[in-house]
Amino acid sequence: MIKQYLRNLRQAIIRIFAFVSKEIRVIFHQPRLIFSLILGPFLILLLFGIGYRDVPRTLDTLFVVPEGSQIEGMVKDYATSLGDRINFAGIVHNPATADKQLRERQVDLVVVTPIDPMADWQNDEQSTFSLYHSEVDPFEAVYIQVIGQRYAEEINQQVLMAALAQSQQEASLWHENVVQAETHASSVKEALAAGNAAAARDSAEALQEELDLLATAVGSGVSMVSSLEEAGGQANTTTKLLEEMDTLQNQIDDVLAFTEDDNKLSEGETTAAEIENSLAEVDDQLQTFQEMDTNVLVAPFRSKTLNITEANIEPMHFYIPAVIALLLQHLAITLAGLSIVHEKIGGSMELFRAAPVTAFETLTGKFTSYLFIIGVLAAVLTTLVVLVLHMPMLGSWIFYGLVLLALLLASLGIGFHISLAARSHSQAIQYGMLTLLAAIFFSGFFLPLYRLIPPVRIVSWLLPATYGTVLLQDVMLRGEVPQILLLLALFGFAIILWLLGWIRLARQMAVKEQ
Amino acid sequence: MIESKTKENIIHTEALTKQFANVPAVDKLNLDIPEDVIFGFIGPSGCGKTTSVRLMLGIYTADSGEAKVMQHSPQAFGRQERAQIGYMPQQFVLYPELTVWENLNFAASLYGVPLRRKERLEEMLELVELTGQEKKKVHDLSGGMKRRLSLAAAIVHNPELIFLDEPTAGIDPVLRRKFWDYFQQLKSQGHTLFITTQYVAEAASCDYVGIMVKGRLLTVETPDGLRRRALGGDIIHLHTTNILEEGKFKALQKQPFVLDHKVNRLRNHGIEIVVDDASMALPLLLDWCHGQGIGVDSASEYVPVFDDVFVKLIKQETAVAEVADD
Repeated sequence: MIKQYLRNLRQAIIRIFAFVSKEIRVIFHQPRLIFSLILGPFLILLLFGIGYRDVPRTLDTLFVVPEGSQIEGMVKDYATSLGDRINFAGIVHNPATADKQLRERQVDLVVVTPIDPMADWQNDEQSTFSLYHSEVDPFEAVYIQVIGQRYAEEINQQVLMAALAQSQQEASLWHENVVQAETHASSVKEALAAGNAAAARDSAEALQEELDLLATAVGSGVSMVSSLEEAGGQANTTTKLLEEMDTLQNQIDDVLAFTEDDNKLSEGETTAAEIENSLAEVDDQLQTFQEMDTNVLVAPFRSKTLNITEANIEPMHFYIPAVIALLLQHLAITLAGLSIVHEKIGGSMELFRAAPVTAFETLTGKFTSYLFIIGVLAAVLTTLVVLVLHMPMLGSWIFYGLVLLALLLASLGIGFHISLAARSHSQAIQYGMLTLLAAIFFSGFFLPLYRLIPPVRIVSWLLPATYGTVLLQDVMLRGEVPQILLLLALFGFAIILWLLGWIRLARQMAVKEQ
Repeated sequence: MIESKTKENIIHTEALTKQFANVPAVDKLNLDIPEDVIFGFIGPSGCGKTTSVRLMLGIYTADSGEAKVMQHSPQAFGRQERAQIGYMPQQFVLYPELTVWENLNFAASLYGVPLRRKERLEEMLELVELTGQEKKKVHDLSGGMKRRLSLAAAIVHNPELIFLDEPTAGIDPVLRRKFWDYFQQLKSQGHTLFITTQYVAEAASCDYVGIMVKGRLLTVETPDGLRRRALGGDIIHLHTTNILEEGKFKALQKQPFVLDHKVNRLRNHGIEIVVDDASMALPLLLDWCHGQGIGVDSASEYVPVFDDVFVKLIKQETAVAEVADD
């Protein structure tokens, strides 16, 4: 009994390895096939690495500015403010000329500036820059929309900065008013100390006049800055300045009142001294105002992005795990997809039916051989991407191997099901190409999965390349343990496919009704 | 039905029937084939030979009837039964990308032949005269060499029963002769061969021949038996010096060694005589001619080509079958 069992087991192993040996030899007898299998995927990656440009698109942009517009001078300056993204292609006055050039694709973008922005502002309306393009690619259209928004923001910022710079320049003139006011304040104080109420009143009136001038100038110059500061939650230099000016107004009113009453001359003297102090404070704050950075005032916030991952990941490196997953899936599906259909069409299946070979032995042998062949290809491909393309490998090679194993088993499973369903080589290749197309769109290769609605994501998770991409990114780029649930799901997927494939092959190898 | 008293029947079928789209491919096939013989299954293309083989191999399931191959139903074949059967399909089904040796090795592995098999493979290649071609890829082989490789692959595991489906189809007469030499050699080694063929002449090399037409087995006989069945007995061709007179012709018809008065005139003073046993009747005929003063140029047993036998048999048996059906 045991002897018979061992004999059967030995023969089963011989039959399994018959398929392993046969499949490997069939492939290794075709040097061109090996060449294309090993070097093909690597050359694709290499070409991608060399050819990929991580630069934003430069749009040749033509500006339409109405004849005699006040903003013509600043259009060109602003046009270059977005760096390389806009290539200034000139200014035209006639919209029809710009329209013709856009339609003939001589330019990528036409910006039509507002006819009279001042009038718009006076009417409490925003002035509009219209951007015209002829893109059919929705992603490019979005890119142009973003560029338009950035352009408008940039202009708004530039306008504000110009206005602020002008206010700061004017503030240097207000210092003279402050000095003059200080002189008057000193005279008031001295006159009150001498008990000369009439002289004190004269000087106080002169001081009041000077303070009125200063309050008007400061009020109009810094109010915009004060609003920006309040909006940005910054230290309110200008608000303090304006409050100080209000205090001065009150103080001078008090001084004038004290000069009317001889009993309060000493109080007036004290208040005049306070005015002197307030003016010194105003002078300091004006100095601070002049030194303020307009950039900070106009754009108080900026963003700074920091990546907590360890590697310096280049765009090419980001795509490599997905490309490896996609290529290995496709190789596995193609090889396995053609395998059984080849036996069916070539007639070997009839031989298998007559021979003491089982579906289990056939499928196990074929799985093992393709796993070995594609495993070797994957190892060579990995070596090349690490050594030649300097792909970072932050995680464990053991996890990397586990992910590839699961990916290949599941992909081979799909391939064998294709082979079991196909009735011709061309049908098997068609099914394989459809799977590749599905993987390109749904595996997260170039479209993140969140962009797909949940029901469509089911298709994504039916593709081993989806799991492969996520898990390889975890291991290679993040240096993390791959998400265990995903890895187990992929192994589970592979086991289910293998079992179903076994059942289907057993049916096909069993007695035929016709 | 073959009468075999000494050997057990290795194949037995009873009313075995298979239809495709309500058209009978094999119709009530009754066969009993003993061990250690070459059984030739002859019939035109599409007559149901391959379907019969597939039914006996368990590749097809029968619609009705019964088959026993090596005392087992083909549908219930286990590993052991399958390992005792060799099969060479009609088409070449091995792998063109592999070498002769690799293909043969794969076939041996399929049947679980132990790994120390080098000697056995060499023996097989020697048998089919492919020694020295081991490293040649199959796509570089001629059609005849491929057929020989297929034969080697079918018998590499030393099966008890070998099914060869049209092994000589499309190959030249010299190679066909060689193939039949291999088959005789295999038979002498104790194998039973079930061979289908369209070449009627090959029936002469078989121990038993079954003739199949339109899914029906018309008859099973030895090659000699078939001839006798087709022609009604042995044939003697007699050529006289002069034309035989009518009176003497009628007298010849009445001789006891002539079966059913079957005497026909042939061209050039020739006469065809149907007898029960040519070896017994020939001396009696010559004595009778001498007694009648008839000059004899030649007298010998005529062995007709199997094509003629086949055509005659088909006509006879089809008529009998139709009458039986009516």
